[in-house]
Amino acid sequence: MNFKGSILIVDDEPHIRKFVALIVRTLGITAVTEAADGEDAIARFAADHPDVVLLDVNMPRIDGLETLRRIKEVDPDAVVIMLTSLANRASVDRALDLGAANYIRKDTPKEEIIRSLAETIDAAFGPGDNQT
Amino acid sequence: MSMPDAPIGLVKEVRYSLPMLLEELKAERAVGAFASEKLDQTEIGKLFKAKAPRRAKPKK
Repeated sequence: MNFKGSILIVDDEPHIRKFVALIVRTLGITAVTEAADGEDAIARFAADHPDVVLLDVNMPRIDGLETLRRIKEVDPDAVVIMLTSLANRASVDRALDLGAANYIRKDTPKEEIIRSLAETIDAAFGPGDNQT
Repeated sequence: MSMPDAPIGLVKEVRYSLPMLLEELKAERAVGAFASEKLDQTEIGKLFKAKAPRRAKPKK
């Protein structure tokens, strides 16, 4: 993977954001920003246009699925990966319908999260593409 | 075991149209026990892989 784009991590738990940021950096991605809830995420997405959004589902005010819907309104081609502890079928189906690029459970082993992220980003941007 | 008197092949009543059945299925998937079924990562991965991968639009 040779992805040089930017990533927005959205989660209301600061320690989860820190953990996800560490995972993302193991992929060689250094352009990482964070948002603590859906409203903040939508505002940052509209302002910064990150290449990839890693989005939690259970969040106060606007949940991740509604945030996904609104991000897709701003940019239908946005690459949004759900990273969440909520893994019921309704939530997964909804994310799929709304155009999420992938849906990863937080309780997945770290190595598998890294592999899934890399595969999804490669599928979206190509293994050799350089985003700026 | 006795059979009903209605001749075979005679449709007395159509209770559902296909769109109605699909709506019911959709509602069941959204709120029923099916909806709350927990999916493991392998199943989730299959669902997303089944959907054709969509490449992000290149940025200018």
